[in-house]
Formats: sequence, C-alpha cells, structure tokens
Amino acid sequence: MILVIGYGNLLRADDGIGCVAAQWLEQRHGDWQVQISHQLVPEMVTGLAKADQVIFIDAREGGQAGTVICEPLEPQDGGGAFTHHVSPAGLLSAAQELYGATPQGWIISVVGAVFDYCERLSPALSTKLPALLDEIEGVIHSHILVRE
Amino acid sequence: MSQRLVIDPVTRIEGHAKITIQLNDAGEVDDAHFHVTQLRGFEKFCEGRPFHEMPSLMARICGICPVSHLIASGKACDKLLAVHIPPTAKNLRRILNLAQITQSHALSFFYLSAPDLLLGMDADPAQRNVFGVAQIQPTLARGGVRLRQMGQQIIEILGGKRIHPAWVVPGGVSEPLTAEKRDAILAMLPEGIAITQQTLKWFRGVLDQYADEIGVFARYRTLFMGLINDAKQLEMYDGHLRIMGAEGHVLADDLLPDQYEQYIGEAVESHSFLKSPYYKPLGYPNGVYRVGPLARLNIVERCGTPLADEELEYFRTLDSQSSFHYHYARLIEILFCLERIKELLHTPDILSERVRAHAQPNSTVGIGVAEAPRGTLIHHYQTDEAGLITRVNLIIATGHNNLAMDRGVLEVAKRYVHGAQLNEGMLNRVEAIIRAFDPCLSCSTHAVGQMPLQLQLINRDGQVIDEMMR
Repeated sequence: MILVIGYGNLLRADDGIGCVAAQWLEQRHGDWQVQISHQLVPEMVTGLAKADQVIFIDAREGGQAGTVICEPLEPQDGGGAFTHHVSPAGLLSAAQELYGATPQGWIISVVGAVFDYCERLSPALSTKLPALLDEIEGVIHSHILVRE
Repeated sequence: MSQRLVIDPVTRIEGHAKITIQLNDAGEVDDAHFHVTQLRGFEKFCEGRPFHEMPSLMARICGICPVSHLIASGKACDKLLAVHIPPTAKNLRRILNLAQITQSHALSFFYLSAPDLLLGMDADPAQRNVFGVAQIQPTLARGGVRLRQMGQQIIEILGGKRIHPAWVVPGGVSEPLTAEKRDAILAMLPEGIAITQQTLKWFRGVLDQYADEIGVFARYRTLFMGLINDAKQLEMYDGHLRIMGAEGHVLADDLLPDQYEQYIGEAVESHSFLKSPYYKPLGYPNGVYRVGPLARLNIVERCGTPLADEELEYFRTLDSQSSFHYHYARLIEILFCLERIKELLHTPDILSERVRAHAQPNSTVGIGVAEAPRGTLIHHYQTDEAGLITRVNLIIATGHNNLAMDRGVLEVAKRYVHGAQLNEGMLNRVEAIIRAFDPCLSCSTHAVGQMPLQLQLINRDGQVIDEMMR
C-alpha cells in the first residue's frame, strides 16, 4: 500500500504546497492512501504501519522556487515522533518500534518562495502549479515506485 | 552564599515554563516557584470583534484542547443570544467534549508521563520517551497511540477536522449527526474501553513502586473544585460548581457558574504570567484549590457510568490529596468519557436535525463554563449593543491549578533537592510534579497589561540589588 502524507500550513502561502499536491494526487490515484494535515502528528504512525511505501510531501526554504527534491528517508530514533517536533524520520522509527513495520520512506520537498501569512500559493508556485504537480507525480513514478 | 537552581525549559508539558529553586546558605531548599514565561494576549486582542467570531478565535488559544475552548465559548455565546440550544445540539457538544478529554488525557498519560512511570524517574533521559516505553511495554505504547487517535478521530468525524473544528457555533452546532457517523464512532468504543481497562490494571499494579512520590507529590491540603450534575455525578459540560474542603466535606455546593466572580478571585504573582485564582471566602492564598481529574473524582459521589464507577471504588482507597493520582484519575476519566459517548450516541434524538437555535444578540453578558481536560474552564464575554466584544475574561484550568503547582514544586524540591548538585532523577521529579497537573500553558497565559516584564536580582536577604523593567 502506498501512503502519501502531504503536510503544511495553508495559511502560510507556499508552506501549504504539500497539502495541495497530496489533494491532487488523491484525485488521480484512488488506490493510494492520502493524508492531508496541517502538521505531522504521532497518530500517523498507525497508517505508516500498514504501508509498504510512505511518501511525505512538504515545502522547504532555500534554493530556486519550484524545485522538487526527492530524498529517501531512514528511521531516526530519539522520540521525534512524540514531541512538538514530529519528523518524517521519527514517524518511520516509531512505526518500527511500535509495530515492527518498515515501510520505505521518501520525502518530496518543494522549494517555496513565500512563507508569510497568505491563503494562496505565491506566484512563483501558482503560475507553474500544473507542471509542478506533474513533476511531483513523475518523481514518484520514476524514483519511488520503480523501486518496488 | 545562597544559590539558585534553574530548570529551564521544563520539558514534556504544553508550552514553556521554568522552575527556580532558591537555596539557603546550608544548601537546602528555601523557596521554589513555577514560572510561566510566555504571554498570549487573547483577552485583549478579542476586544472589538463580533461575538460570533469568538468560538473560532478562542479555539486558536491552543492546538491541544481547542475543543474545550470551543465548548466554553459556544456556551458563552448562547448566553449572549439568550437561547436554550436544542437538546440534540447539547448532546453532540457533550460528545465532542468527551472525545477531547479522551485524546488529551491519552496524550498526557501515555506520551508525556508514562515514560517516567514505566521506566522510572532515574532512568536514562535518552530512553525515557515513548520509544523506551515501546521497548518494554509495546502494548501500552500502542494503546496510547490508539486512544489518542480515537479521540481525534471522533472530533474529526463530528467537527470536520481534528484541530480547530468550526462545528460548535453560537446556538448549537452547525450540522446534525448522520447515522453513518454515529455508527463509525460506536464501532471504535469497545477497543478504547478495553485499552483503558488494560492500562488501569497495569497502572494499579505498579502504584506501590511510587509510594515515595505519592507521599510527596503536591501532597498537601487544598480545596477541590469542579462541575457536578444534579445526581452529584461527573459532569463535563453543564451543571453546578462544587467546592470540597481538604477533609472531604462539601464547602460550597450548587454554585451557579454564571456567578463565578462572587466566589473566585484572581490574584497576580510577580513571578509568572499565569493568574492565580482562589476561593474568595478563604482569601488569598488560603483559598488555593485544585481542579482537573483528581479534583473532579474527589468531588463526585459517583462517576455515573458502570465501568468508571467500578474503578472509582478503587480510586477511593488512594490518597486523595496526592497530586500523583492525577494520573490514575485521568485513566478513569477516559473510561468514563468512552462509556458516556456510547450512552449519548444511543439517545433517541441524537440524529435529530434540530441542532441550532437562531437569534440575534439579546444580552450583553455571556458566561460559558465547562470542564476541560485539565479542569474547569470559564469564558466570560461582555459586548456592546451591537454585539462587539468589549471585555473578555478567561479562567483556564491550568490557571486554577497555579497556586497548587507552585506549592507542589516547593514540596517536591524540599524532599528531593539537597545541595547544589543537580542530577537528572531529581530534576525530573521536580518537573514530574508539574506534568502530573498536565498544565497547558498555551491556554493559560493570555492576560495582558497586568504584569510588566521584570528582571530582578535578589540576594539571600531578599533585597533587590539590581532590576530591569520595560
């Protein structure tokens, strides 16, 4: 099972790109489990425990706006799934510790331009949104699913 | 020369705080305080807003217990409308509040406190987290995750989202419950009840290991306060306030929540942004009282649901004055909440579509009181004739417990802190007493203009030798 978790703050402009992308993927891939969230929360670990692959989609700062970066994730111990700073790697670790589950983890980060108070994506992302979403989907197919 | 030990920040609580411990010349604890060092300002910046915005604004006080603020704010706004909301709306709000208490208690017990309780307070801090719990008691850790998730899911089913749902509105709720949603919630409950009962059984078995902490953890005589229904049972949404004395006698009963100002005073201490409420007839600070799970179970005659009442029988054998038993009370309340949700979902009119009373503002004062996970929550609004907010007063559960926490810190510090050498176990015990109250500082620090930012350097004679203010 493929689990996509798109997260970010939709009130902080480009920080919400992960949510936008996940919503779009949900419409196109009915067989994927998709979660959209303001932030990562510990309870997500139950979903990870059932997944073969989990793909986190988030925004990041720094670099050319609209750049899509895909990186593999490794579990990272240290309670990172159960604090105010829940991390993707911490959730992977929690899935392993609590349920013995070892889904492959990936994080797709989209470089944003604006993270100020705003309910819309910045022009830097919104003007190329269709291409950006296609690119994210392409990355999933070419870098992640091909390794199944 | 006297020394001051500072624990900053206190970990695994909601928000930011520090504790200072004043040592005397002999290196023994002379004084100790719990400081809340953040300021929010909600009471001030809500002024001028239309009253109907208040539930949504108030929910933003906190990401852990937004539902509690929604409930209290919704009730205050009902009073501004001067309406009786439909019975179904009241029951749906009750379910939402009970789910909120479930998820918050699960967070407090399983995520924040279980590492101390299971691994021991002298355990390696690197291991003292839920991963450490998972290695020794994976069932316990998984149960905690599931219980919290369950509470969040019920909130999401009812309110549309886990955090900051906008479903509670002045006059009721915005949408009725569907049969499908009701059945989805009902299907979860047996698992939650089973997890809670297993956890209670385990916790009961290890309580003896904490005899020392139980005897010290804020074990002192205070009053207890909380809501209670007409049958003198546990009440999280409505009812009257009861205040119980330290000896277990009822000091004041059937107090009208709307008249809280007659019996609750609010003091301000120089060392914290947290207000210090007290029971007026006993004055300040003698009127110190505790609220929350321990207080609620101490003041009721019964919980009112079968399984929780069975557990209450055992709870009555414990030391009712020790704040350590907030943990045990929290588990019983989870059980109560899940049982009560089931009862409410089976009420005949729970699917009724009459869930909101519509009206224009008919009053300029609205007071809403409900039980939040950490205790009694009071929202008090005043408006002008146009319904714009002119004054807000909030008394938050954590605030009620402020004086008790302060004294708890001192009691624990006196017992466990000796000399200037700090060790992790001792530090954690001081912090653990605070965690027993499960304070939510995000919620409780919203006063503005009452305390200047002040930095004082004080010698062992109590003289201020340097001072900065702005």
